[in-house]
Amino acid sequence: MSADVFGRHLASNEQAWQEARDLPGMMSVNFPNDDTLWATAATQNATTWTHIDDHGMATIIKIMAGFKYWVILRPKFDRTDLGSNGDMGSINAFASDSGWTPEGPCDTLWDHEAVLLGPGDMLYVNGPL
Amino acid sequence: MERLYQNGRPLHHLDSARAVHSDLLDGRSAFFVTTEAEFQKLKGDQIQAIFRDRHIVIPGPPPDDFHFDHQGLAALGSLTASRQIQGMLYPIEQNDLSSKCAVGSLRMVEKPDNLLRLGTLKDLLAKDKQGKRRILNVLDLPMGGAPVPMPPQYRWVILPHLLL
Repeated sequence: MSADVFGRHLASNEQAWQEARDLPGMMSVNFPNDDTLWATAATQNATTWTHIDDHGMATIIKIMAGFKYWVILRPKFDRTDLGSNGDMGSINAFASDSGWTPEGPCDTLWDHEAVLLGPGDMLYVNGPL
Repeated sequence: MERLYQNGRPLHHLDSARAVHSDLLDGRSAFFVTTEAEFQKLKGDQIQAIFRDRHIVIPGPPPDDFHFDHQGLAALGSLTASRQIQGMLYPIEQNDLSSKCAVGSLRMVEKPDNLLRLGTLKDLLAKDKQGKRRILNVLDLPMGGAPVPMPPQYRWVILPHLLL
């Protein structure tokens, strides 16, 4: 993993950890590196269904071998009269009548855009918009 | 997926995907594409402004010391430790969407763990080499020390030589 990923301006998890360090009531434990940094390994054609990564946190991935086709969902250009359904800034984002579940493609709410990543490529995925 | 293409090209292949300042509403890509050298030149507030609205793609040179083999996977952890694997351990005869759907359909709302099997990285490699298609995905490989490139476990480096 390239060192440029760490200590840059997007690692809010590290900043939050540092800010909370030694505060009264906070346990003194090491930074949970294993919980925030992991690898995956898969055979050809492995497919992960639509989901929100890790409770909405951002994700950085580097491809070491093989290829990965990463599809993101983005708000539709021509989205109208759908109110706040699927709007992650709204309390109604996950409303039961929104027609959207994090496991579904829901192409009435989202456009789909994809990028093919090969060895050495890095992708920084922000949280839900 | 191709609905957003312009002149047959995906949005992130267009020059506009390389613009530091962009507005998704004007039809630009949700991906900001740059080089590692250009990324390093950006100031912190610029990176944060880009990342607020777009994902960032940085194409890089392929690692010359990592391959999908025993030595490569041994850098990720023990090859023999039992781990959760998503997918199917038995062969899939078709290489089409229906095969992938069959794997995906194993996971149900009422049984979210139905997609999981127990296996090892060694199993993953063995199944991959057997030829018949299997769709397996190991997701549980903690890499807390990864800022420093991890060496493969030595026993997996020397094992091929011992077996000769």
